Amino acid sequence: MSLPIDDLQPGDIRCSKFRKLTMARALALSGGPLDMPGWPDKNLHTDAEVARSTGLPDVVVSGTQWEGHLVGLLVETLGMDWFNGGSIQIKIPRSVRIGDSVRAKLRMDEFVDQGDRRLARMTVWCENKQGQEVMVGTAECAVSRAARGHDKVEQIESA
Amino acid sequence: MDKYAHELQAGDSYEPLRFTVTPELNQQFLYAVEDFNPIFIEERDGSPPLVHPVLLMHMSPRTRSPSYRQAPGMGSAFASDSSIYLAPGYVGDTFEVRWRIVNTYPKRGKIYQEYVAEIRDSHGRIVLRRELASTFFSQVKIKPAGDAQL
Repeated sequence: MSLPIDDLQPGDIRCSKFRKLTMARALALSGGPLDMPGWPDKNLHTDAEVARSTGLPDVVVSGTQWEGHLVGLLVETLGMDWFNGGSIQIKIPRSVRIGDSVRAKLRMDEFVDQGDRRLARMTVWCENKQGQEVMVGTAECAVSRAARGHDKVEQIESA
Repeated sequence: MDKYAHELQAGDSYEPLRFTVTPELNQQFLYAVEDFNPIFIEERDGSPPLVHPVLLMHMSPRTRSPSYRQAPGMGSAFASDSSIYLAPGYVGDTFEVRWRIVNTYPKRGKIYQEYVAEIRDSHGRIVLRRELASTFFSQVKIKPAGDAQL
């Protein structure tokens, strides 16, 4: 079975669907295990009062939540190779609030030949529905020539 | 360790954390990020499902350490990270996270703390290594440790 990476060319952009960051999903990520006594944990990402006590206007969604979207897109694109040296560097230029929708995107920048593997270098980011970047960075992964795994192409755009 | 987190300096460590990833915990995080890729749910080639990376990321900030103590009225926020995935983690396994602070400095009224987090599986393999930078912030002026000035 081929992977999306097998069909990507430099300049191609691949993206996930928009995902709405609801309070229910924020609680699932930041509230602690569901069977924990006293669930959910009260913190900046789950409780407005705690957020305000630190000077924030309201709950902010954990950056891990949409970095998870981004890494999920990389796994879907690259398969098991991601778990054997895939790397990502990111920054968060603006915060995300409960109710915002975000999607993850990657642009294939180049492939570098490494013998029986090729190093995929990508620009990665997440954006909200206003087109504002809420996470920016780069990712790299050495890809086997005969990649195997499932493929689930959400969308491929030509740059 | 009785210091507040923002008082720690380069070379200090937070106490390690051990955690076991049950199918239920993994699936809770799949719900959190709406990612129902079968590799995180089903066994493959005799191996358990994979732990979703977001769960490992969630366990890697210093705030998960049993020794992490945040001063009252203070918040902490993620600034940047560089992560490398070195081996797959499997559902059912027990993992250990270790944290080591590598740098601290004041900037624009906040204290920045850079640290390395490593997550190992029960075989001692590093599955995720992260270099993270986070900030401490407060409604009142923060008094940094040492000679640092905000």
